[in-house]
Amino acid sequence: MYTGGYMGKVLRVNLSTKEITTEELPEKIAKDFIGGAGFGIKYLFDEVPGDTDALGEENKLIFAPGPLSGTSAPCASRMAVTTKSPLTNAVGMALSGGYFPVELKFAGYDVLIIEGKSEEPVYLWIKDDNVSIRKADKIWGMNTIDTQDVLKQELKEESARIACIGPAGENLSKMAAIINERRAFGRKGVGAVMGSKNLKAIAVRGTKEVPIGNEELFKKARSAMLAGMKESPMLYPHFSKLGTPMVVDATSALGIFPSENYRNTGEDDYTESLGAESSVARTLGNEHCYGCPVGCTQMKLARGGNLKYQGTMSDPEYETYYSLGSCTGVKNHDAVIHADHLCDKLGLDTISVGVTIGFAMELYESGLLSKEQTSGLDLRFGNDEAMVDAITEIAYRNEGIGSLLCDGSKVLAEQIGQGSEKYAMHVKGLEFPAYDPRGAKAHGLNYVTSYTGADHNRGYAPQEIFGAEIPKAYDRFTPEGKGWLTMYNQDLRSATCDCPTMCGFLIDMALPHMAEENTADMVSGATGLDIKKEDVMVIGARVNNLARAFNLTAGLTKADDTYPERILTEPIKEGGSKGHYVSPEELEMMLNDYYDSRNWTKEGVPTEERLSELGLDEAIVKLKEKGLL
Amino acid sequence: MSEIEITVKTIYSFEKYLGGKKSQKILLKSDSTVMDIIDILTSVYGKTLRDKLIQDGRPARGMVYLLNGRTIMALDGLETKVDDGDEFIVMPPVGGG
Repeated sequence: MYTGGYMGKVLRVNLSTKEITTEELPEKIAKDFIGGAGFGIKYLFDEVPGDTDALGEENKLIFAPGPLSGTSAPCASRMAVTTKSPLTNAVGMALSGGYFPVELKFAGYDVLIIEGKSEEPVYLWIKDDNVSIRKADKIWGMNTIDTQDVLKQELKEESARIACIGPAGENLSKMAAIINERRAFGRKGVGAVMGSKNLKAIAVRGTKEVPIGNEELFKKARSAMLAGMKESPMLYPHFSKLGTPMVVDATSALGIFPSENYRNTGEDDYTESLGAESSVARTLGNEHCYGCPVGCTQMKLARGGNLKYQGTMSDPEYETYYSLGSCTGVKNHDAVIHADHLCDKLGLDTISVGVTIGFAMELYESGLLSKEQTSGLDLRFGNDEAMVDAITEIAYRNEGIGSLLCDGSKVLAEQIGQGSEKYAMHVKGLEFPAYDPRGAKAHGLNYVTSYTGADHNRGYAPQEIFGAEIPKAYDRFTPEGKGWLTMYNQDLRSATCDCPTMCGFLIDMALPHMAEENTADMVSGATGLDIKKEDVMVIGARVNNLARAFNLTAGLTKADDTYPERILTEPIKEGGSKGHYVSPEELEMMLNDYYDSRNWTKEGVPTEERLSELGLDEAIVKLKEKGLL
Repeated sequence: MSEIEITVKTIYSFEKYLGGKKSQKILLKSDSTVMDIIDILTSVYGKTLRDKLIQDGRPARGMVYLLNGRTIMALDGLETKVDDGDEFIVMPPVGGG
C-alpha cells in the first residue's frame, strides 16, 4: 500500500442531490495511473458513458493533482481536470499549475469529482474536512479576477485558493476555461462543463501535510532532479529569464510560426513586434508556481499605443502570441497583452479564441462572412481593435459575431458552410496550437492522434524540432518513423508529466535524458510504491489506450484522425519550411505506422491483445458491448 | 580552391555569443562541413562560443543546429557537408506553449 504522496481520499460532490462523500483512493488505481490525467481518464472511463451529453447532468468534472503535488518536489504543483469535452466530444483533459493544485492536497484529497447539476448557481467551499455547497447568486455574472477577490472576502480566508469560471463558462462557450489566479485549465471547453453544472467556483483551504513514503529515496531523487535542472544549458540561463515568449523567435527561424490562419506562414516576420526582445521591454518580473525555482511566467505591462490597452498587466505565453497575435495578423504587442488579460478575466482559452477569430477574419476577407454577421466589426487580418472586441462578444455569446464564434472553429465552419471547413484549423474540434504541422511532421501527427484533438502538450516532438537525441534525432520534414515517434512522445509525456503531475517545460527542456528514471524514483520516493523505470512507459501507454477506448465509445472513428484540407494540399509558401505540406498519402502512411506501433487495428481500434497486456479489461468489455472489438 | 558563402543565423538571447548579430555571412572553402563553420565562428568570437557549441567533440547537449531547416543530428552531425548559399541556424532549444 502507498504510505505517502497520496492523501488517500477521493472527494465526491453531487450537485443534483447535494450529497458530499469521501472514499478511499484504491492502491491499484494509484499504481496503474499515478495521478493527474491518469486518474482523470480512469474515473471518466469507469463512470461516464462515452455517449453522454458533455453539457448534460451525467457528465462529470474530475480534478486530480499528482502524488508529488504538495511535497518538496520541484515543479509539481499541477493538476488535471478531466471531463467529456463539449468542444471535441472526446476526452477533455486540461492541466494547470499555480497554487490551487497543492491546496487540494493540503485539504486532504487526491481527487475531486463533481457530479450532477445544481438548480441554481453555487460554489464549493472545501476547508480541510469541512465541505459545503454555497449559493453563488452574488458572484454569478462576475469576471474571474473579481470572483476570486470577493470569495476570499466572503469566506474571510485570504489564503484560500480558488478555481472559477467567468461569463464565458456561464454562457456555455465551448472555448471556456477554468481560471485559478491568472492561470488556466484552458482548453477543450472544461469551463463550459463547469458552467453547465451551475458551479461558479471551487474555493479550497487546507492545513495538512503531504506525507513522504520513502524519505531516503525521495531525497536522493530530488537531489538528482535539482542537479539535472541546474546542469541544463537552457533552463536557468535562458528560459527562466525569458519564458515561452522567446519561442516566437525560434519557431520563426524554423518557418513554422503560423500566421493569418495558416494562409501565409513564413511570409511575414513577427519577431520584431511579438518576439523575445519586444517582450523583455514590457516585462515587469516573473512569477512562480508553488515549489518551482524556475518561474517562467513573465508578467508584462502594456505601456504604449492605444489607450484601451495601456496599463493592462498580463502574462501571455508563446501560444497566445500566436493565437491572438500572428494568427489574427496582429502585430501590436500591447493589444496581445490586453487580449490575453481579457481572456483570463472572461474565462476563455486564448488558443481556441484566437484561432477562431483568425478563421473568421479569413472568411470575412474572402466574403463568406458579412459585416452584418460580424456585428459591424471590420474583421480584417491585423485589425487589433476588432480582435479585442470580438473576445467580449464571444464570452457573452452576444447575438451576431458572439454567437457565431463562441463554440469554436468547427461549429463556425458548420454554420457558414460553402467549403469553409477546409480552412477551419482544428482536429476533432480543438483548434491548432502554435506550430505549423506542415514543417514538423511528428509534432503534427500528434495533433491528429492525441486523445484531446490538436494539442501540442500531449506529444511534443523535440527530436525533430530541436534535434534532441532521445531516443534519436529526426528530420522534421520527412514522414518516415513518425508514427512510432509520436506514440513514444505521447506515452512519455503522459507518464512523466501529465500523471505525476510534473511540468512539461521542465521535462522537455532540462531533463529529457532522465525523464523515465526521474519519474520512477520521484514517485516511488514520495509514495513508497515500487515503480520501476521500465514501468513508466507502460503507464503512459495505458493512459493513452484507455483514452482512445473512451473516444471510440463516444463515437469517434479513424475519420476523425485527420487534418483540415489546407494542411493536406497547400504548401508553406515562404521561410524555413517553404514548400512543405502533408499529403494525404503521407498522412495515411504515418497513421498506419502509428496504429501498427500501438498494436491497434487498421481502423485505429486497440486490439484485445494490447488492452489485455496493459491490464485494461474494463476497456475490452465496453468496446465489445459497443461492437467495436 | 573556390569559396562558398554561408549565412549563419541565431535568435534573441544567443546573439550575444555571435557578436550581437542575428544574421551574418561567412566564407568557407568549398567542401567544408558544419565543423568548419564552427571553427570559423570560434576564431572570430572566441572560446566562450566554442564551449557553448561543442562538448567532448560533439554538438553540445541543449543546443539546436539546423542546416537549411534540418537538424544536423539527423544528417551527419558536425561532419555534414555544406554548400554555397546554405543557411545554418544555431539556437537554444526553446519550446512549449
